[in-house]
Formats: sequence, structure tokens, C-alpha cells
Amino acid sequence: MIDVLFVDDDPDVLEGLQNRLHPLRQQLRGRFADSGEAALQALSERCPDVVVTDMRMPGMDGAALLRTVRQRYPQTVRIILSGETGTQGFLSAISSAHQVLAKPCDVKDLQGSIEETLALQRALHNPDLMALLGRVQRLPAPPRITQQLNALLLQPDVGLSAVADVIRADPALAARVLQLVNSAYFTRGYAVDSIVDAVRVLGLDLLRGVVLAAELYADFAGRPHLAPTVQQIHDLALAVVQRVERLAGSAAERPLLATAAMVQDVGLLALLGSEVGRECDADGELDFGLVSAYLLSLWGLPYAVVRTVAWARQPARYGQVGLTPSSRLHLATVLALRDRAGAATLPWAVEPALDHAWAHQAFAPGQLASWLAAQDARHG
Amino acid sequence: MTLESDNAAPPGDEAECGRLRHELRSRQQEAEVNGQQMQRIFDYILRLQDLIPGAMFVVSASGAVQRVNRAATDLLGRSTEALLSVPLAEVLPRAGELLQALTQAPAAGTIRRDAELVSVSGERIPVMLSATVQAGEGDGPPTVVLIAMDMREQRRLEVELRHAQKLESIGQLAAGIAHEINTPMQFIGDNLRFVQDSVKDVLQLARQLPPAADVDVAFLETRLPRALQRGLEGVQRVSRIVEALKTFAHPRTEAEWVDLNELIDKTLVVSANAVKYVADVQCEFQSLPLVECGRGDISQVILNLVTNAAHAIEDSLTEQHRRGHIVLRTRLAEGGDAVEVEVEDDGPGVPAAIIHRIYDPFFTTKAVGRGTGQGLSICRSIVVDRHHGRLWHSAVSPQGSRFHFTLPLKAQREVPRD
Repeated sequence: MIDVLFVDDDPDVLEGLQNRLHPLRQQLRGRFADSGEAALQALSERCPDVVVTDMRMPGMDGAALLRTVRQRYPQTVRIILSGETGTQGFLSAISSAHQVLAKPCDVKDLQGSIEETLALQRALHNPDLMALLGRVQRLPAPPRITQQLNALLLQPDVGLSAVADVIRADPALAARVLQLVNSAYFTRGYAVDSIVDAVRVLGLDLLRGVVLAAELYADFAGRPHLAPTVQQIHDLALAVVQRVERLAGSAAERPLLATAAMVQDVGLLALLGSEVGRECDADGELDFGLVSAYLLSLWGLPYAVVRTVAWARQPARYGQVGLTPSSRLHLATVLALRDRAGAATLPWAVEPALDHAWAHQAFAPGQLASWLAAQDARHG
Repeated sequence: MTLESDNAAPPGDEAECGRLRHELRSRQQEAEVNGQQMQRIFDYILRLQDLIPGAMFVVSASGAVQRVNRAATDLLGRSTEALLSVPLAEVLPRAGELLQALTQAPAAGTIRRDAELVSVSGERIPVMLSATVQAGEGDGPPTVVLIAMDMREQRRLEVELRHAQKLESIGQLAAGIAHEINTPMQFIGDNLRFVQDSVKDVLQLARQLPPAADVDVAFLETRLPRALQRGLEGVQRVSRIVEALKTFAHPRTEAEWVDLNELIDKTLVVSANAVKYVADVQCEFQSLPLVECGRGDISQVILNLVTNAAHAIEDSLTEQHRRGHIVLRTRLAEGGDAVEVEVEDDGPGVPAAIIHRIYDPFFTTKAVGRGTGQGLSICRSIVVDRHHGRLWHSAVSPQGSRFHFTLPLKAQREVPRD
């Protein structure tokens, strides 16, 4: 049962939603508030799994409400359901929401993605971690990359392709544009899993707006010591993308795998420098694939990307048999890490060793070594 | 002293003759030099005349053309001889009024006004005209000098600017009403889904009740779910229209990566009103790579071509031929370096007599209020000038016309799609 709080100043909209939930009452339990203030009251009585709010309301608007929710109830999924269409409205909406949906939409479509988010939440079963991840809006990118991107966007005649090249090569930027583009605001519900397509759909004007509003990436104010680690994660992602493109089962699978490889460490980026991250790592139990997947699912990325990332660290544990997208990503990561052996190691135990349980089942004894050698030969 | 014979001229006179002869020769030389100089000056003036950035006509008070410059022959597509042999009124309608005004009140100085010149092909060229009376050559009667500046480019830019402003305000309006429309669409949709679901339960209950005289349960059972389904489809349609309007009036000026097939679908939603009563629209799309182009611009081109097709069909409808067909096709152009869009109709086709003029700004065969004559001119400016594509027309047998345009994929090769 998903607990949802709907907020809209239009009583007709609330009544409509209430009616709509009636046939879905086995899966969704709704509460309704007609203003931001009423919503905060309802939240203080019981914290829901999800808040779905209108944007434009008298008094406290949707963005202001979600800023408070982010502060007080960070583990709650924050969604804006707006009838507005302007870029400006969108920019203020994404500054505090996980996802932005466009009216009209059927809330039943929300059910699947929310269930998945909540399942990942349960799998991670760590309230402190949930709270931390829930507050994250943007991730850090290497300063060299963000300077390059800003300089590009300042050029009046820059091509979209040049901008796409920078964004698709960085985990933080790529995850953010995928989040933006997969809000129903732009695509009305069809999933975009290619980073280049995401950049193309958003267009330069909007990207400039997002960068100007400081909404595309997080800066390092006060934490410059993290920059080298962020650069390492960036470099590793590029190496894994190169590896995984050669491992793709089909041409059709390649964009999905390239995207999953690029964003699979966003959880790590989110936890950098945090106490929670260190603690979680100390007990060695934390699956960073799940952490990333949780963040990506909060942000409304396509299921296929979320699942591929979620199961890639320990494919056998999540029932991955043989060469699936997740296990291909797993192998690509293992190979990329082996390639860079000797380079400085990433913080904590995030470097996945080969999942032997999966390998034993997927390959006959001794076969994996020759298969890997063959991959190396192709790679080299 | 008496004068005797010539051959007996006194020596002093001979000296005088020599002097005079010499004088005459030098005068002749001087005159020759002066003549040459005059010729040079005259040539220079003639050349200056050709350098004037406007068409120049020197005409008599009665309108006989006495002199023209090269800009005049170039602009009107007529030779100097041809221009000198016709009255001014032939190339400048209502020239008489102007000449009269000038010659009767020469003190008025220069008259400036907007006017139109007629080219050899019959094109009416908008110009800015200045006309001045000048004293006649020698004792001749005064003449009028007319200088006409070609204003076509200026007018075209003005039209484009007005057009862009119009689109911008449509875009603002669309964004404004989108919110007002989308909100009720949300609760209409939610309520319809609720009723759709509840009707199943209600009908199930109704079946268990004793039959009532006035209630046709069987009819309700078939029609109620359908009625609700139609209602939900209507909601989809309205939100699609709002969405399409937004796309159409897209204020974004920069090129984006556009799926042309999807763009055409959206544009057809906007143009449905112009088309649906006169023609059936059929789309034959091939799958295309994304094209870097201005979304609003290309949407405008498609809208203009489709509207033209619908108007052509509408004019040819008869009792026997009650509806026409419009076919839109997309494909990768031969060679694979461009995409091609085709809009075909089975209207009367473009008459051969006007085929070379259809892209001229302001040229139209449509009734006043129906077409401004800017449609194809704007299409050409968008496709050819701004997108470096091609726009052309071909005839369709047995009847109809087909407009094609291409957009190059040149930038496509920079980054392979991942």
C-alpha cells in the first residue's frame, strides 16, 4: 500500500483524484490537502511515501512546500504535478522536486515507478541513508568539466552536439539531464535512456537556463578535497562505458548499457564526504548499485536503467542468469577496474570484485578466463 | 594702301597668317582636348549613373523615357532600347499623376513615395521612389528624374518580423491557456476513469434487478463503457492540441534535434481545421534520423504546404469529386545526406503560366482574406535561406501538385547517436 498526499488548490482536481483512487484503493491510499499549509499539517500527522503537489497555489506554492518537505521529511518522494508549460516554471519545480509531471496524467502510471522506488528503499533499509539520498538534488562534477561546459554554453553559436559530448561523458551531468528529460514535462511519458537524445530533446536554451539557475550540478564550495575523487569516478565511468559498449549483446542494447555504465556510481557521488556513507561502508553491507538505483528511481529514470544499475554489483543475488544487461555491466566494470589497477583507489569498498556465484553459473570452469582474454584481445 | 593679289602679300601679312594658322591649330588641339575631356566627363557621369544603387529614369513631362541606368534594366528585366520605346506608365502604373504633380508645381522639389514597378514578367516590385524636376538640357524643356530603390528584401524582412511576432504572441497565449486547459483536463480524466470503473459494478448490480420497463440494460451495457472510452480519448485529444499549439509556436530560436515525423503529426493536429472538411490526410513516413532544425520554423513550412494543398483541393471540389487527398511522405533523400518531406494533393495543380512566380513574396491566386501570398515565400526563406535545404515543386498525374523540401543532415555526422 502506497501512502500518497495530494496537494492542489483546485477542489475539482482533488475530488477527481479521490474518485480516481477509488478503484486503486488496494494499492494506493490517498490523503488530500487544498494548500501548502494544510499539506504541512497533514504531513505532521503522518509522513506519506509520496507527496504530489500542484505548482501554482496561493500562499505557499508547490516549490516552497517541497523545499520544506525536503528539509523535514527527506525520505518522502517529492513530485510536482503541474499544468504549467513554461521553462521558468519548470526550473523552479525541479529545484525541489524529484520528478515533475504534466497535467493531465493518470496517477495509476505513477504506481509502478513508486512501487519500485519503495522496494529499493526497503532493500536498503537504512533511514539515515534514505534521508540523505532524498535530500540530494544535484551531484558534483569535476571542475574541469563544468568549466568546459559553462564556456561552451556561453558561446553564442555553439552546437548542441558539442554540449552533448561533454554531458554524456560525466556521470553527474548525464544523470541530471536524464532526470530532467524523463519528467513528463518534456516527453509526456515516453522514456529516454540515451544521454545524447536527452540533451537534444532539452535543447540549448533550457540547458543554459538550468546551468544559470545552478541546477545542473553541485559545486564544491567548502569541500575542494573531494574534487580528485569526483574526477576518479568520472574517469572510471568513461572506462566502463568503453568496455560495456563492446560487451553489448545487440546494437539496440548499447544505449541502455552505455547510460547505465555512465550513471551507475551516482550513489557514490551522492554519499561523498558524508558521515552516513562512511558508516554504511564500515559494516561492508552496503550495495552501492542499489544506492545508485534508488537515487535514479527517485529521479524518474527509465526502469530499464534503474534495474540494470541495481543488479550490476551482485548479479547472482538478484537472479541474473547468464549474460543480462546487469551482468554485462558487472563484467565491464570488473574489466575496467582491472585495466586501471595501480591507479589511486576509490573510497570505501566500492570496487566490485567479480561475482563468483554468477560466474560459476554462467561459465564452465576455466571458460571465463579465456572469455575474458578474448575480450581483452578485442579491447586492445 | 591698296589691296593687291593674294600671292603678293606683303611679308608682314605672311607672318601674321602663320601666326593665325598656328593659333588655329592650337585652338583645334585645345578643342580636341576639351572634347576628349568632355567625353571623359560624360562617360564618368554615365558610369556614375550606373553606380546609383537604384533604378534611374529620366523622362519628359509627357512621360517619354529619355534615359535609364543599368539598375533600371536589371530590375525590370528589359533592355535600354525596350525601356526607351515605351511610356513610363507601362513600367510605373499611374506615372501620369506623379509627373503632373511635379511639373505643375516644380517648387515642390522632390516627391518621395512608395510605388510599384512592373517587371517584364509582370512581377510588381515594391520600390521607394524619389522624383525631382531638373532644368532641361540647353534650352530644352525640363525633365523629371526618377530614382526607384528596390524594397523587396526590406518588405520580406518586415513580413518575416511581423510573422515572428505573431508566432511569439501565439506562443505566449498558448502557454497561458495551456495551464487553464490542462487543469480541468486532469479532473475530467480522473472522473471519467472513476466512472468507467464504477460502471462495471453498477451494471453488474443492474443485471441482478428485475427488468424495468424504461431501462434498456443491454444498450447501456454496450454503450456506457464506449461512451466513457470516447470521453477519455477526447481528453487525450485536447491535451494533444494544447501540446501541439505549444510546439508550433515554439519560441526557441536555436536549432534543436527534431523528429520530423513527430513534428508533422503535431502540425497536422493544428491544421486539422483547414483540412478535415475537404480532404483525407494520409501519412507515409519512413523512419528518419533526428534532424537539426528550428522546430517552429519547419512546423510553419509544413502547415503552409498543407494549407495550400487543402485550399487547392477545396477550389476544385465538385459534385462528383467531393473530397480530395493529401499525402505526406518522409524519407531519407537519395545519397542519405538529407531528409525529404513531400506534400502531395490531388487538386488542380499549379498552372504553368504562374509556376515561376509562386515563390515571389505577395504573389497569390487566392481570394483576398484567404491568402496573403506570403506562404511559399516564407517556406522558401525558411528552407533555403535558413536551413540550406531545397524546396521545389513537381506535377502529379493525372492531376495535383507535389511540393518537396529537404533538410540537410550535415551536422548529423559530428556525433554518432549513442
